[in-house]
Amino acid sequence: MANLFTMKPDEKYRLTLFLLLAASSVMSIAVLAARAFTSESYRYLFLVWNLILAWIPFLMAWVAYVSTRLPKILMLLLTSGSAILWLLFLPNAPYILTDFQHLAHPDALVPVWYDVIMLIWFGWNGLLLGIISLYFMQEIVVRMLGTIAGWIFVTLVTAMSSLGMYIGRFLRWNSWDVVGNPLPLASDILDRIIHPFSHPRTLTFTILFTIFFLFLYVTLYVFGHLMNASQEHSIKRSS
Amino acid sequence: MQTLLKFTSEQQLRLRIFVLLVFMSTVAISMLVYRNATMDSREYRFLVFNLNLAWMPLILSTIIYASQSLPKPLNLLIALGGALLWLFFLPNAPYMLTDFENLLKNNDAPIWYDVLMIAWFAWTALLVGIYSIYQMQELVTTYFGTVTGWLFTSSIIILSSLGVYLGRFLRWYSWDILRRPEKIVTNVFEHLASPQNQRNFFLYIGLLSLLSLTVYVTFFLFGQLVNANKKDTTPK
Repeated sequence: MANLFTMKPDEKYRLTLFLLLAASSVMSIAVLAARAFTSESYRYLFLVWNLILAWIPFLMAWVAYVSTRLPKILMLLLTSGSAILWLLFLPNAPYILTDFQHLAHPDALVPVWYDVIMLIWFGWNGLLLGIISLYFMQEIVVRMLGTIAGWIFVTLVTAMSSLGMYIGRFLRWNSWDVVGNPLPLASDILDRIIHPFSHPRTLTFTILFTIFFLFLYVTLYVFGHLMNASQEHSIKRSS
Repeated sequence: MQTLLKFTSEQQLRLRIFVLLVFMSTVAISMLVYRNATMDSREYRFLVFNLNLAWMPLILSTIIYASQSLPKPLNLLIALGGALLWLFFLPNAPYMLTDFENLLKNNDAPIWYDVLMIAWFAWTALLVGIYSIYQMQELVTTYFGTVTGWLFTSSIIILSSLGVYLGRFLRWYSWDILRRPEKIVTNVFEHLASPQNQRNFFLYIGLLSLLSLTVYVTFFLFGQLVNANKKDTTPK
């Protein structure tokens, strides 16, 4: 009973975050729809597709998280299955940030400031879907293997995801090519891992994006702990 | 003794966020320096200036926050004067998001590098702004309660979006509010005489406010989630 009761606040925040991200996604699609409607242009409609792909890792991480409470065998199957899918689809979340490059080719139909706000909105949704889903997975790892393993996990996954973004942006592979086209994809990846310095663009992109994502992640994480500390502090002050 | 211990852990977290933000700013500037050195280019140097301006609100809100331990009339004076100055400088933080529109005119470096570089600048500035608003919200909440705290944050975000508009479209700076306030007012009224500008004005401020508020609330909720989990896993 006590256990059930202490579970409540974090479930509540998880659900609220889900609703907020859903509302934010709907808003960004509405901004795009207004653009398409007034300019009668089909440009940027791919953002909707990219946003749907960005939601997959979030949903998979949630499935993995919830299934850790199931009985043992079922839990292992569901958690590891959804974890693998999560990892394959994770690069889609921060990927939306790279769509900013379309701003370099503006069209006369819509003012640039509108496209900037729209892209920020989509990019923000993708980034946060990635960050929060990574946090869900980190919690599972921390519970099973401890805090240090949790942070090693976060670093490794971030690096893999950044490489995945590169593969998607520049080599035009999709997450599902792991099943549909495994051999050419694997040779592309292995070539870059074995000879990192003959692919300077891959190396620069992956390293820069890994650091970027890690910093955002850690800052958000520390911010959470600060809220905890300052709330306890103000409760003490007022009592 | 226990309160002292709790207090230092809070101070420690504040310091950690500060160091993280300084580090992110350093990496962003290094990316720009590296870009311009290797490409022999002079583009995008305004990003450094804009990032410096984006730091102003955080420096001001930290001063206000720290001054609250001073004796009574002094802390209120600093809070009121500082808060006004803070409000004038706050728009510089979200303003950096709009620097993405400069992607248009430049092509000295590969576009993916510029996207990542501007994203770095913009996100650092955004985090600086969010953390600064959070500090001020904490103060308002301590003095006037939670509801007032959120009313404060919502109105601040709308005012700040207005500030971004004044900066982006009418090219005013924060310090112009002190130097020639009357010119800003007449300029805004002239600008809003055209119905086209009027529509853009409300659309821009509405969209940017909604976006900023969503961003802020998501940060807040994520913080609460981390917080709830921490309590859940701390040994009893």
